[in-house]
Order: sequence, then structure tokens, then C-alpha cells
Amino acid sequence: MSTFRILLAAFILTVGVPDVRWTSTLADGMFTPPFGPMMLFTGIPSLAWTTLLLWSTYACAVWFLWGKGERWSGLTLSVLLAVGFGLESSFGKINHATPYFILPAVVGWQGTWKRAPLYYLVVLAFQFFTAAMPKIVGGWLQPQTHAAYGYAVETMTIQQSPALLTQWAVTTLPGWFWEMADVITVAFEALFIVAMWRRRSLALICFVALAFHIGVWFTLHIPATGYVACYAYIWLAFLAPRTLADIPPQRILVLTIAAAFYAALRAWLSPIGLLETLGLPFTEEVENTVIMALGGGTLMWLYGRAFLRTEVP
Amino acid sequence: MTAFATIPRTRRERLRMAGFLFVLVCGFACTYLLMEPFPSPILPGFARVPDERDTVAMEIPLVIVVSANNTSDTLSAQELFAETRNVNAIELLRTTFYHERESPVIARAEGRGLYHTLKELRRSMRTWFASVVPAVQRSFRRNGNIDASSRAWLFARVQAIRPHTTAQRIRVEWFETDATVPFDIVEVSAP
Repeated sequence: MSTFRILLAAFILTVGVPDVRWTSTLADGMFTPPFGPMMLFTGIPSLAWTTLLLWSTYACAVWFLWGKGERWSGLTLSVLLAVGFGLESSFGKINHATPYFILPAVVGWQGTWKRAPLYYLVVLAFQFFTAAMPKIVGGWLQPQTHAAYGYAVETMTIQQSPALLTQWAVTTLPGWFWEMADVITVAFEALFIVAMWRRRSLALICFVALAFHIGVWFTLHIPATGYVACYAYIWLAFLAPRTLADIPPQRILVLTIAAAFYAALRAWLSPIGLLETLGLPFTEEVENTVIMALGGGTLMWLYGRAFLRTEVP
Repeated sequence: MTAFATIPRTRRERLRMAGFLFVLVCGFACTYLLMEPFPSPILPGFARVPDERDTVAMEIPLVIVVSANNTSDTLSAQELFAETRNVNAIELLRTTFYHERESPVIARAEGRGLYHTLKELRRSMRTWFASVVPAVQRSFRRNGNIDASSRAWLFARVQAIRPHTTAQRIRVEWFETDATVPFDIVEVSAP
């Protein structure tokens, strides 16, 4: 799994660190931290504090990538990421990234605790279960309602943040498709915790989950880039062929250096507008679209193949 | 990479896993009824169904800037919070410039069967929780009393977006879909 540790560190360095420096532009009165450790903050942290948090997280990701003391670097990285996501979630809406920010700790400790990947998978599956229950009692399964359609319309008109396919989907797709989307969403969320106990059903449910995340990004504009890393980990931990374990980490050194270089450009130069001046496509929108389409699509293919292969170990 | 078997093999492992699942379920029940903590292993339910019988019910906020010469200009929540990232602008506006009473959209969505019952139970449990844990109050919605920092921020932000406008008052009006009369108005005078 050292290969995955390096890939995860590269992913975090490239697109996975929450930059919360914007929080200092808001008023203290808007700061409503969710119940939990974030309540220790009495107001919005200063710009110097959030800048320090950002660079500490990058430094810790480099430490994690290096591999020395991976248990502690993974744990520290998870804590720093949690603080970043916690600050992001202190303005009226909680961003649910728990499986993503606990992943470095899980990867760091799996050498010591062999069952860590299984418990991690349970947490992910349980998360989906908690999303299914309110949908069922809220009326998602009633044929006269199209909840996903309603949220797509809301994204396009009220939130004024349409995704690449929102308008097309809202104006073109028929009612039965939206109802089917409602039913499939509820079904896969509720059944994930049941399906995860067998490898073939795990492959199938992860395939559907990825299709769900990609569909949600392209219609409801809700990114799940961190979840792509989570599904990559699950595939490696439970479904990947053994031959993958033999890939020497040195082979991905070039990728890592490129990721670190891009991360430096992204975090340091973009705020002063240099990347935009150079015409480089630096936007979270492009990053998310590339990761969801390419990363998510590749993983869908891998999970699909794992489901179809009868010799899956 | 396939060293991790999915199903726990020994009785002790299975008991440990069952205990872990039990803790997760109890934790979910508590957080559903009391308050969603961060961090937690739960996902948003999106329980509200905004579309029913081809009608999409939503809340639309408008920020109306009234100048000294009584002319008015309208801003959207997205313009106001353009500098934020990964934040729902309308939710942030709702957290800060909104009265405590329930909006007709949400009240209507909640007026059904089991969903309504659970919502009512949750509302009463949360009120109780906030009374015994005062720190939780801070996480609740504002009740229309705009604090000085938000008031100052709002006027400074409007000045930054509309540099040629001198705002005297700013009104946040909340509309229900297709309605022409707002169901809630929060007015803020210049600090």
C-alpha cells in the first residue's frame, strides 16, 4: 500500500487541501461552527492563522508522501484536513468529507491495524445508509414526486450554479427518468451496507456509487473529488489484483513531482492572478470535472471489470 | 492488496464489528434528533422533496440596496458571497439575515406523515438540547437580530460590489416560488 500512500499524498497535494483563507473576508457574526470541536473557535480565525493551516497541511502531506513515520504523518494530516473542512463547514452548511479526510490516518495505520480498511468501508457504507433513511421518510419514493429533478431546477435557478449538464437534463430528460434516479439513489444508499460484505456485490455497489457521484457532479454541481480517492482505496484494498502490489513506488516519482509542482502553483501563484494571466485553466471547476470524469470513469471501469470477472479473489 | 478479507472470520471479530455498527446506529439516532456534529459519519439526507406534481417549491432571497436618493438596486446571494468557496450562499444568507419563523416552503414539505412527525420530534429535542448545552445556541439560526459585525460587513461588501452606490438601508427579502409578496423581510440600516 505504499504505492497508494504516495498516490494519495500526491492527490492531496494537488487538489485535496481545503484553502480556507477566504473565511477571513466574512464577518464574525456569520461564523456558526457545527456542534463539536470546531466550537472551540470563538470567531473566524485570522488570515495568518488560515495561511499557516494551509501550509502546515501541505508540509504534512509531503511528510506523508515521504513515508517516514506514516502512522503519525497520516494521523496529523487527517486532523489538519478535518480542521480545514471544519472551518469550511462553519457557515451554515456542513460539507460531508469525513471518508476523505480520515483516509490518510487509515492508510497510515493499516500496517499496524490490519482491519482498518474494513472498518473504513463500514464507515463509508454507513454514511450512505444515513442519507437513505431521511429520503425514504421524506417522500423520494413516491411516484408523483421527482426529488432529484427539483434539486436540479434549484441548482440552475435559485443557486444560479448550473453544472455542465444541468440545463440539458432539466429540459430534456423525461419524468420517468427522474423518478428512476430517485429510486436508484435511495436503493444504492440503503443497500451499500448490505452489499459491502461480498466482493462482487461490493464491486457492483461501488460502480453504482461512482455513477451516482459523477451524475450528481454533472447535474447538481456537488463535487465528490475526495470520494474518488476513497473509492480508489477501496478498490485497491479489496478488489485489485495482487500484481499491483509489486509496482515499485519509484515509478510514480515523476507523477509526484508534477503534483507537487502543480500544488505550489495552485496555492501560491493563483491568488495573485499569475496563472489566469498565463491562460492556464486553473479553476476548481476544471479540476473537479477532470477528476470526476477521468478518475471516476476509470474507477467505474475497474469496478465493472471486477464485478464481471468471476475469478475475483 | 487482497490481504483484507471483507467478512470478519472469528467470533470475536464479528462481535467487535457488530458493536461498532451498534455504536454507529446509536450515534446516528442521537445526531438526527439533537444536532449534526462535525466530524461525523453521516451524509446529508436531502429529505425535502422540492418537486411535487410538476411544481418546484423553493425559497428565493433578494438583497435590495436602497440609496440615499431612494433608488434601489437588487443583488443576488451569489453576488454577495462571490468570494467564498464551497459555501452555499443562500444558506449563509439564511443563517445571518433571516427571522426564526419557518418558511412556508419548508412548513409545507414537513406537513406529511412520518416525515412531519420525525421533524416535530427533532425540533423539540433540539430545543431541549440547546437549553441544556448553551454553546449549541451559537449553531442555531439567527432570529433576525443582526449583529454589528454582519451589519458592517454587509454594507462594506455592497460598497465593494457597487462602488458608486451609497447604501442607506439594505433589505433581504425572502420569496416563495412564484409569489410576488415576500414571506420574510430583514431590514438593516447603515451602521
